[in-house]
Amino acid sequence: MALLEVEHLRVEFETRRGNLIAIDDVSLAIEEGEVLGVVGESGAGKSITGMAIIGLLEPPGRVTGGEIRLAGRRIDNLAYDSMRRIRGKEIGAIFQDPLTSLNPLYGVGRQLAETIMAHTDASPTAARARAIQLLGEVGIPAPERRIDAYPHEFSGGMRQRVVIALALAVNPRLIIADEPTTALDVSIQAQIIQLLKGLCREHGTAIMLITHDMGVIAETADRVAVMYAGRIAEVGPVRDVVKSAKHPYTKGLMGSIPIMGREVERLSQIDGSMPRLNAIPTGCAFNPRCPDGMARCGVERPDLMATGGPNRAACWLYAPLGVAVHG
Amino acid sequence: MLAYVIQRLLQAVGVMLAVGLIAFAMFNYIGDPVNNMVGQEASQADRAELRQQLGLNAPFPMQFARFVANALSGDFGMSLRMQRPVAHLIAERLPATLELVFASAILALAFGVPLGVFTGIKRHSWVSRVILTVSLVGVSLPTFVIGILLIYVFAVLLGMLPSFGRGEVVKLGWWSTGLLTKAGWLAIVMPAITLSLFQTTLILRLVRAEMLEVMRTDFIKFARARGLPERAINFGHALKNTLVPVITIVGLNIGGLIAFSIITETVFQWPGLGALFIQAVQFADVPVMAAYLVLVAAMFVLVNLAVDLLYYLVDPRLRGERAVAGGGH
Amino acid sequence: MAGAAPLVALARRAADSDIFYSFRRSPMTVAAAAMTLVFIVGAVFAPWLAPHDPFESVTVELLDAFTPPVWDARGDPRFLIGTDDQGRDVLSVIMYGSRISLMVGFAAVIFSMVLGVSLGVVSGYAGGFTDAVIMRLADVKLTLPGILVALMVDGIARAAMPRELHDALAIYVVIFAIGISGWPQYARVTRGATMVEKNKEYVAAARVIGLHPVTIMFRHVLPNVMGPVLVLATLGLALAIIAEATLSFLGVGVPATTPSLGTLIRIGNSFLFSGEWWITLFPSLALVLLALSVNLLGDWLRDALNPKLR
Repeated sequence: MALLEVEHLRVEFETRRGNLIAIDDVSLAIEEGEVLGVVGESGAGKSITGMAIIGLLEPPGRVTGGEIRLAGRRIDNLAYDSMRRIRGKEIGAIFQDPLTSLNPLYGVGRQLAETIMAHTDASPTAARARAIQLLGEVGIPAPERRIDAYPHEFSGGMRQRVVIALALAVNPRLIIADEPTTALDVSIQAQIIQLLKGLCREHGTAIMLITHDMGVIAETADRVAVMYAGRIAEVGPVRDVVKSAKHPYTKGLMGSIPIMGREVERLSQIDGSMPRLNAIPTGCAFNPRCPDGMARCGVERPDLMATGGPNRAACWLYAPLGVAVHG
Repeated sequence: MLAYVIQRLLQAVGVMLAVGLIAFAMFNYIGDPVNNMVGQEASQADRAELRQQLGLNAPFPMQFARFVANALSGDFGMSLRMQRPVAHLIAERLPATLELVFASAILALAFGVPLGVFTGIKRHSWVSRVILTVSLVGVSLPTFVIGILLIYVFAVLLGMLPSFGRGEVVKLGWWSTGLLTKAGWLAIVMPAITLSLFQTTLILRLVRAEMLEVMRTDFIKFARARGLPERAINFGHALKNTLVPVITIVGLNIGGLIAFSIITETVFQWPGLGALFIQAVQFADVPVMAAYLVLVAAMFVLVNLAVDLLYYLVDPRLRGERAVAGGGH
Repeated sequence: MAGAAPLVALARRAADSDIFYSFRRSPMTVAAAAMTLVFIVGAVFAPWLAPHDPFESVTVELLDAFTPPVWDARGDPRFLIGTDDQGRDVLSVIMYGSRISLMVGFAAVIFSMVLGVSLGVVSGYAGGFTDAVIMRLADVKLTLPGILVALMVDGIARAAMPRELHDALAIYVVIFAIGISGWPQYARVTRGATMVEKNKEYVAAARVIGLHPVTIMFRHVLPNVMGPVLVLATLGLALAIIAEATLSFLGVGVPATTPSLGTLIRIGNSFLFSGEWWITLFPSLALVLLALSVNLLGDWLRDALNPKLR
């Protein structure tokens, strides 16, 4: 049994002009201690998938189908307070912008201590000691002196280290890291990623690493899921997805060579851009841009299917037998 | 910190001088300053002598300097209507107004902040909608109409509360307080509610708007992701971050309370500064108007100064000294 | 000033946007609009619609004084909601009173609007020292409660003018006193829009052909600020109506010979204790309904046009 299992997840946004389907039939799994990269363009649904898993979708967005299980226990239908106990304790999260993730009016020590005390029986003194230890672990120099400093007294990279300390405060089993380095200076992005990966390996924490930076994924992830227009286009071991992509979209994506820090906001290799949520074509969403499009692609939507290698791709190119494989 | 305080103090002095100039202009150029000083009963000879004494032909800066000096020593001349020194009139009336304003400010905060937090968090609950609709009615209700309605219900129909005056007051030195007697407490209930209602709705709406704003920020999202209890998020992280704008508005609104106390005092015949001022306006009693202007400006400036200093306590970013090299943005 | 073109543009934009949708969807707004319309029609056509002429001494009988509303046993069917201390029909007095209230309200708002928009364009175009002075003044103005400013202005006017002159000009003094507080918000909105337009090419072009840039800017800035200004004006109208009523209630507003709603409430207030509640409560109710309706309209307009007002 995988640590996290997402099955047939569907997320809709209710608007005045009808429901927009932001996530459509997404299934993925993360093993204990594994790093799963989730990559795709802006608006592909990566972040929404992450927020759905930790139960923090903002209205009008809501999960309208599928299941999310953590260590076999269903968590997508929990009451708010039960889910709150899982957030931080079982599943930690790191968001994009370290400058705005910390409350500017509280010292970092206080924010760490309150997180620790929210999930354990630690006394204030013990929580503070643990906070100092955590700051040390994430590489803040002289943590015992910096513990009462306010967020604005740290640099961007240091703040992101504090954010990592907060996410790891009570040793969660999974961290959802949503673009953890995008807002940072290129020179420190690698450091932060290495730190995150190192700490998680030490504690056996799994990571769902959401990014549009294929370079980061290539260097960090064990497996990778490529998302396109609210669906998973291809999933497989990182080496195979990078070296021998199967889905035409992934192939285009890999054209933008994996160099750390290189961003994949737009794909020069593929004409056009990802469809908006209110204009997703019938059949395969990638069809209008696909160099290998067939008649079937405009009519029928492909599910993930075996490709002959370790990767699975949602593409009719790999359906000689006409059998779609789920999961 | 010290430089900041000194800068604010200098600004405050600047504002007071500007207001003083307006008051001086009113005092000297509207109506007859000699009248303002001695009243209309003085004889022609007295007037001529006084004019001489006052050196009313002296250059403008000299006259203004004398006006400022007099004002600082509490001398604002004689009331035209009452034939008494303005300073005495004000000293008599000040306690009544300050007690009323203070009671109203407490009421407005005690109701406005919790209701604002509630409607900000439970945005979609029907209770919030009711509170907001009622608050809109509150904004549209003129102060004096609230007063009249309260008087009609609680004084005329029910006979529960007195409709005018301060009840029984006790002298503490020169200060007269109504807060030491039961009659005094009964008397302040309706005026205080009347005066506070508008401010309550303002604070409510402001706190709500700020809460909605803060609730959308990343650090609240991150606090949720850390699994903090809702109470800690709402009343700790969120409310504290709404404090700076709320303090500003509450500070400004104390000025508003002083201004609106004019109306409340008229409705309830509350013997305060506002009632004194409105009589001064009706009878063109320039010295009283000028003195009132200076006094209200002084209160405004003091409150604003207090607000600026409060920011320091609330927001560490303003304290700044400990920022490390290369840190912070 | 700018002709009908901006109005047409606004109307077209309004029709394109979701404005009618949101109007129909909000029953509260529809009710508020209807109520405002009733007030405006009742006030404008008071001489034809009012059941009595309260200022015609021939028809007013002192014998009718203090008649309660019709549902009271002592009521008189001629006077639906009773009569005041002089035997005047309260309903008619309210209609005539709303006339003064609305007139002063509209005039004060127009005064603030013209002053604010002009200062905003000048401030945004001139920049530098002029801009700093005007905006500083606006800051100061915004911190001072409007009612205090209005009272001061009225007091100074009383002290500076002979009594008869003041009485004759009272209504203009009140309009000025209320309007003078409202300009800073218009100025801020217009200033922002002006600064955007200032560097566009047509401004330079205008200068080349010998037009003063400010003249041409009015024409281009106005359509841009129409939405926010309309919202400010609507909310300002409610404030101005309340301010006028307050001044009149305090006895420093319009003279008692041409009573507004505030004056009526002030007069009726003295009879509250002797049981003649209707003389003061009906005008109060009218005032509150009017202010509330206009406020609701303003609130809806702000949300519907969604200008950058906060």
